[in-house]
Amino acid sequence: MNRKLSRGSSVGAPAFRPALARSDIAAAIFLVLLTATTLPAQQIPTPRLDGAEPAVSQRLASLQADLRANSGNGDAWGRYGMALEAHTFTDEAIVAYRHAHQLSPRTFRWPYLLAALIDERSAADGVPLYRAALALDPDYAPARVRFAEALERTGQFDAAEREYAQAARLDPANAHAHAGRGRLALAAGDPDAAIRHLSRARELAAENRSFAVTLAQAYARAGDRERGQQIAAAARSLGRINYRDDPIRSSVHDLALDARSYLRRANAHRVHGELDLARRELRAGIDVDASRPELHFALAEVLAASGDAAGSLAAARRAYELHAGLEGVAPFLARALFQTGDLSGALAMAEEALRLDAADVSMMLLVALVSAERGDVVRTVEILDRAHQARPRDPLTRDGLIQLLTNVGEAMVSSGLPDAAAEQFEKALDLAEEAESPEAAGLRRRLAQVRR
Amino acid sequence: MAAAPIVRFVDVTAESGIDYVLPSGTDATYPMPAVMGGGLAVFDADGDDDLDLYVIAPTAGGNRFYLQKEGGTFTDATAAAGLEGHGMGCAVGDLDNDGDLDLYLTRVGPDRLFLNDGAGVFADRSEAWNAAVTGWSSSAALLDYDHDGYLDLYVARYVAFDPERVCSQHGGRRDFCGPTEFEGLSDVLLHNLGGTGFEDVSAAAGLTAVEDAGLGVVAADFDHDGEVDIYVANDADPNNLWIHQGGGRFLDDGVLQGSAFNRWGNSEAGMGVAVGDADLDLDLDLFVTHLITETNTYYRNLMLPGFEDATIDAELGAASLDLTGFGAAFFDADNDGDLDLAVANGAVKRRPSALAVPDGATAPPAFWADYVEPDLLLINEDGQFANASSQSPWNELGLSRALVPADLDGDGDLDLVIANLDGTPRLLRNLTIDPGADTDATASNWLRIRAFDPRLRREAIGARVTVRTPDGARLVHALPPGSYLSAGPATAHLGLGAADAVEGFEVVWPDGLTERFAGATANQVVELTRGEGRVP
Repeated sequence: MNRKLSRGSSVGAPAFRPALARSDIAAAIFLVLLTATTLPAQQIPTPRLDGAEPAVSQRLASLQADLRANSGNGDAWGRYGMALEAHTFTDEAIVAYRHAHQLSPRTFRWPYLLAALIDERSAADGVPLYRAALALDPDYAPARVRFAEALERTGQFDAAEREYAQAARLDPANAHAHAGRGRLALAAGDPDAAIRHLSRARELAAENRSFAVTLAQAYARAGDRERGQQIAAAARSLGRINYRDDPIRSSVHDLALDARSYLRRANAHRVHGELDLARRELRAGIDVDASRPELHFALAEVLAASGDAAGSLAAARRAYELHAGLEGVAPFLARALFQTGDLSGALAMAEEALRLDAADVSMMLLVALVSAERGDVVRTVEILDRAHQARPRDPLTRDGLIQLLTNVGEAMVSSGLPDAAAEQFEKALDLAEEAESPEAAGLRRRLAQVRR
Repeated sequence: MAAAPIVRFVDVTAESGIDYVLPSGTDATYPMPAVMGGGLAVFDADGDDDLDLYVIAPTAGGNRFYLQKEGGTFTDATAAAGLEGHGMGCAVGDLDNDGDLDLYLTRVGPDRLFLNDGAGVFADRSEAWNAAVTGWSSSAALLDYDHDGYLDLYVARYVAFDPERVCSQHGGRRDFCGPTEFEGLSDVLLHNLGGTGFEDVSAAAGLTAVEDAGLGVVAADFDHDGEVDIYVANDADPNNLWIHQGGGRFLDDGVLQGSAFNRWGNSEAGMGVAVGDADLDLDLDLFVTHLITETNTYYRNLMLPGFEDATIDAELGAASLDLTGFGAAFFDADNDGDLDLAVANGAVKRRPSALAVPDGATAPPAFWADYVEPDLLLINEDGQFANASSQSPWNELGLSRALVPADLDGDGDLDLVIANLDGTPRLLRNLTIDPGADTDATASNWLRIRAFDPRLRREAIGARVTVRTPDGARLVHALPPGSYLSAGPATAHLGLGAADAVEGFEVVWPDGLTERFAGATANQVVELTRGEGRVP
């Protein structure tokens, strides 16, 4: 079993180590002194909750009640701090973590979470807190990486390099440790070393855009712009969010009870292909606030990916009812209706999608398909002409348009309309040549035949 | 970090005659334009050799135009100038080469173009000039990319805003939406057709393939190849570095040149962008402002390989980590010969913790209590920046957006104008040179350098001027400070410290012609007129 996961699953359980070195104990004592506050333990920091979702208010009230009954319990303070942090009540969370650490000085989790929060405001203030937390558990690689990053941010590059290297030894699969070494090498003017470390990071976390673009830059600095361009181009399709395998920090964010957090967690699961977990998060989010169209739309996408066409259609319909203009929902619904055989519904929705975004070529294709199916030649040709003029950038859509233009051309040949057919073949050929598609040669031959 | 030297500014807004509160138009629906607006132009609108102000508000009827009068006070001339309305930002320059400054107003919706009659009265020529760019436009920059002598216009556009979208914080409290809630928009390049109108050449220029949330923009020749390039600070998207390939085609090379992402490979919430030779190596560096929890980022120009994120080396990270930056400017605050920084701040979402209003400072409007922040003054000390913002007027809290450095009182040091949402624009007078005060001005000499092209009847926007000073060569540009939603004078300002003269000037005009000019004594406006120098 992954020891980091087991650590993350035992929220609030003290992480005892059998023997601590003298320097570790000194550091821990230093941290206790550092984090000691003048606040009496009984004073519970309470955030402003006006406008907060009821589930959030209730959860915090419940934890406060628990705290009032156990004000001397460090883990109760820590749990409260985690719930506060999960809902971005950062000031109050810092106070709670300080108390947690004061009362449970040997628990690694509380000083680590405190360090990470402080670090967001001041890396210089975060450095001693990380150092002291790591004295309690030197082997938790995600903390060592964060410590290294704080050192890097404060310009302590040599120390940062040592910590990244140590983190990579502790957990060779920690992509952030390798990326840190690569970043430092690039900044120090050693692009070859940067390429080595960043390539390793990219192997370990292919979905991480930051690693890819830094690697692309390293290749450019090393004089290989072509390779850099290839990597940069591939990185364009990657998301902005960088995920970290840090069970302790993740366990904080898992506590968030507002609708947006459910959506965020679901998206994280989707990135990793965990559709069941994504579905569960989205349904829980909808239970919290059923008026959020983005939750229903995300559920529709997840259900479609899971093969539940009917469920997906229902969820997409709900999202559309709640906000017809929500980005992507009308095209999604049009496609879903088309796939279930509801051609009238699909046509109406595709036309609506085009009203919202007149440049959506995929919807033009859908309108053309349904119009052709219904024998509406005038509309089919008119919308195909629009699609051709729009010049789709997406290769799949472009290939679909080429195919559709070819099919319509063939239908016109069969109907004895060679001139009209030639027009369609010309458009298809135009796009195929522009895309340097291998189909261009065949289309050229076919056009010549039709003209003859 | 070294202790910051004292550079004194004083808030003179109250004495200036400007008491107008710039309306954001915010309400319980948290409209996103209300938290992003707050533009500003500082320019000589009526040709009387002093600087006037145009304050731009995101809500209907919110714009105000102020003429500077003798004695340095301002009077509202909005209606007489024909500059009513609302908007986001602006660009100011002579678009028809008739010797006066015209104004392009960006908006959420069709932009507007106002042509100046020379006396400070403006006529809306948006439709006739094909200038009514649609969508949410933010900042705009002037450039002559085809060297035809007429200023073209680059308009950065933000997002496909949907007012129906409801956004909230993690705890569920309603708040302003961020850019990731919407699709980004491609930017627009308008080619000037000989001073008679614009043609949209965005597609031919290669811009339409990129749809990012553009906010700040600057246009300059970053690689010294004689072609003007464009840098766009994007909000949450990678920044664009559009390198002019010649022939009106641009290629976004930001990723490989190291200016699209920060040191960590992250795209940040780019808002404003400042440009200047901060490390005195005779090329243009960049500074981009960002959201709270992100530092502002300093991209040092290394020329051949591009840029490097030198934020840590320059000690520019810590001061900005807890603030949301918008307008920013490299300017020599203390006339000592290197570029300092000013940054306008104010959150776009509720801060994790509201800042306490200092004793004696003005309390912000209640709605913004969780958003207001102080502005920053950062003084360059041998390439590292020291925070000099602890004293008044820098400890005032507000929701600052556009920021423009300009010598409003003509005394030889750069003052600052800062637009504030639901507050009065702040006029911060620089006291580096203060005849009425007991200060030693001998170490703060200066020059104002005007690169003038008589054929065009205007300053040569984009001209690169290398000045030989006793302390080494210095680079300045004829560039209006653009930053965020703002425009300012294109006349370059150079601090000289104790030097009382410079040895010579070399001007590379926008079309590539190089001329050399004789030196000059300090503390004057020097006009370098094309055709009057020596071609090397």
